[in-house]
Amino acid sequence: MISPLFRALVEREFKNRFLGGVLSPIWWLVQPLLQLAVYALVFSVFLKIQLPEKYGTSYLAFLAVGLWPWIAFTESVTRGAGSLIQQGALITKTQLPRAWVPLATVSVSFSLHFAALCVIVLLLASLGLGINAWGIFASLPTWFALYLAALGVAWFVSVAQVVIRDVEPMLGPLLFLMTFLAPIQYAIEIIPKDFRAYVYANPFTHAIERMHEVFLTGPALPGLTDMYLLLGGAATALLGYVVFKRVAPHVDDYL
Amino acid sequence: MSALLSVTHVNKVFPRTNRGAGLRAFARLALGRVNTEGFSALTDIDFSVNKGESFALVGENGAGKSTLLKIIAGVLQPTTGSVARTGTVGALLELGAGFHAEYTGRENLKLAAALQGLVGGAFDEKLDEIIAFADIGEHIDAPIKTFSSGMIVRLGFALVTAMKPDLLITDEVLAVGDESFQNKCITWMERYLSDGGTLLLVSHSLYHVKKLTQRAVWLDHGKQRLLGSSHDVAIAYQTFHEEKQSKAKADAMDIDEAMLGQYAVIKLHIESSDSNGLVATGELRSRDGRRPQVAVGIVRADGTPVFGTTSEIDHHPLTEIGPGRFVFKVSFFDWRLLPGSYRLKAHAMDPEGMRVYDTVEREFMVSGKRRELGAVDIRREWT
Repeated sequence: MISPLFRALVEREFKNRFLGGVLSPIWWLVQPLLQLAVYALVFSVFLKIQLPEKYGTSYLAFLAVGLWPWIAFTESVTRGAGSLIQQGALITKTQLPRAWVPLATVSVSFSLHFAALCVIVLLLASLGLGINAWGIFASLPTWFALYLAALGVAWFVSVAQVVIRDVEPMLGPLLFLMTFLAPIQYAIEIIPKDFRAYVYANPFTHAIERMHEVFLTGPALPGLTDMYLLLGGAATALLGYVVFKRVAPHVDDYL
Repeated sequence: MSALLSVTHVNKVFPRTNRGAGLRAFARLALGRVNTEGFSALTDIDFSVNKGESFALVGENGAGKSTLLKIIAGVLQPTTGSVARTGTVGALLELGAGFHAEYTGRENLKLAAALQGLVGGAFDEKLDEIIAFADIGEHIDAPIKTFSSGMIVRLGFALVTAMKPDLLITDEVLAVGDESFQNKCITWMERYLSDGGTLLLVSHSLYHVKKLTQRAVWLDHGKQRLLGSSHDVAIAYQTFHEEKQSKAKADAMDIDEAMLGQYAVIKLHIESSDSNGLVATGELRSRDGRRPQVAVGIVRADGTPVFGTTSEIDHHPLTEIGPGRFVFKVSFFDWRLLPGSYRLKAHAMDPEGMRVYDTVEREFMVSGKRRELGAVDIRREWT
């Protein structure tokens, strides 16, 4: 049973994103499609990036399945960082459970991007681009692990942002760097062997690889990777929550 | 009686938010340590409010009233100490607290109601009642940003009326809204109180404090200066203000500098005073030996004149007791002064009763439990 208060908060979060515009109801889909088109143009048409054979023939499919979970993560963290400040009027004047604010932000980001990826996958599958549509189900543990990780980081950065204020501007470049340290726009095989260790040191590499597995290369069945990812996500969420619980009651002093 | 609210040794320290202090502050908070350095907004606040016993907070701007209310409402955490509440709490803390400008009145109400625990069908049932009380009509579906401040307050108050919390916390919100809505609120509050509701009120209106609450605390620079019956606290607070104002105000009496010392009040003593009257004696000195006149008057602590007369007006010459020494004794009785702090003034005047040479004052209190306004209990009859 979801608390009606949390539901109201989520509703508000949805509306915050799509308030007023004519295209509001379809932005959640149009925006990622446009983004995908830009990436495809740059990487596939201009830069002519070649994929190893095992990923199939469609760069678009390769890009989409890796990019969407990552967008969900980065967007959650960036929005989460500013969420307490954005809802400052609400949390400093009412008894709203504070942990719900980043939780709502992250939940909305993930549900929107998950929905968007489902649509894209079904679209690409129906175009016969060699994507495994059943991967949608097999990718759920990975999505959930990323969701938990995003939640933990969002809890941490949201309170850190209120007290320190320098956090949000640093997040952009940092996440941008991590975008390139994960095999999203390129296949890991392109990286010279000596440097691959660095890319594998990025925990998100494993999540992205798993996405490639379930949608493109197989096997799609749940495996050990899913378990490691979930454990990592849960640990991050827990750590973020502990810090949040300690700092959040005092954020009024800094808002 | 059971305590609805217990505030136990509450302290609140606001950290100084210097640039660059953030990283250290964050590390300290993340490690679970309490920050006790900074601006001390509240120091050792300790009181409790029983069910049905309404309570007021008075104090100057910046005394910590709003901070204390927020802590009581559970919105702000005390640095040390604790607040225990039993029963439901409804808080009207600030104009449109928690309302979002982009959303309609209805949407904002829904979230605000959910925050206070009113959800689903129960909310839908009350919605019409809320809209009717707020008297907002079709504007309810317009974004809040198009509302006037009065409309926002009405909406907030209307929600509280629907909630009927055990403890209602209000912070000066009654100051907004037009006359008729204020009256509606007061009427509602009186019914709420007579139905056993408990009010925690912050107000600069001592009239409201005395009318709506039984006990009060006076906060002064974050400290509890006086805790007691609303009546006593209101009078002490009012006196404090009147004295503060009169200090700032120069004595309006025109004293002839050149002739200073020609006639002077050298003694003024209040022999006795009670709620019905006062007996005062005094002595005047006259340099030229002529018989001076004395003016005696009663003013409120802030200097507002209540009554004044002179020995010349009353045709009562002063008694000579030695060369250049004159005494008087005056009794005021059946004066019907309302409770409060007053001053007795005596002025030495020339024998013609034209010019004032000297002023001496003595303070006195009129005690009592009356709630009428002003200085004098004017006789009246309602027919």
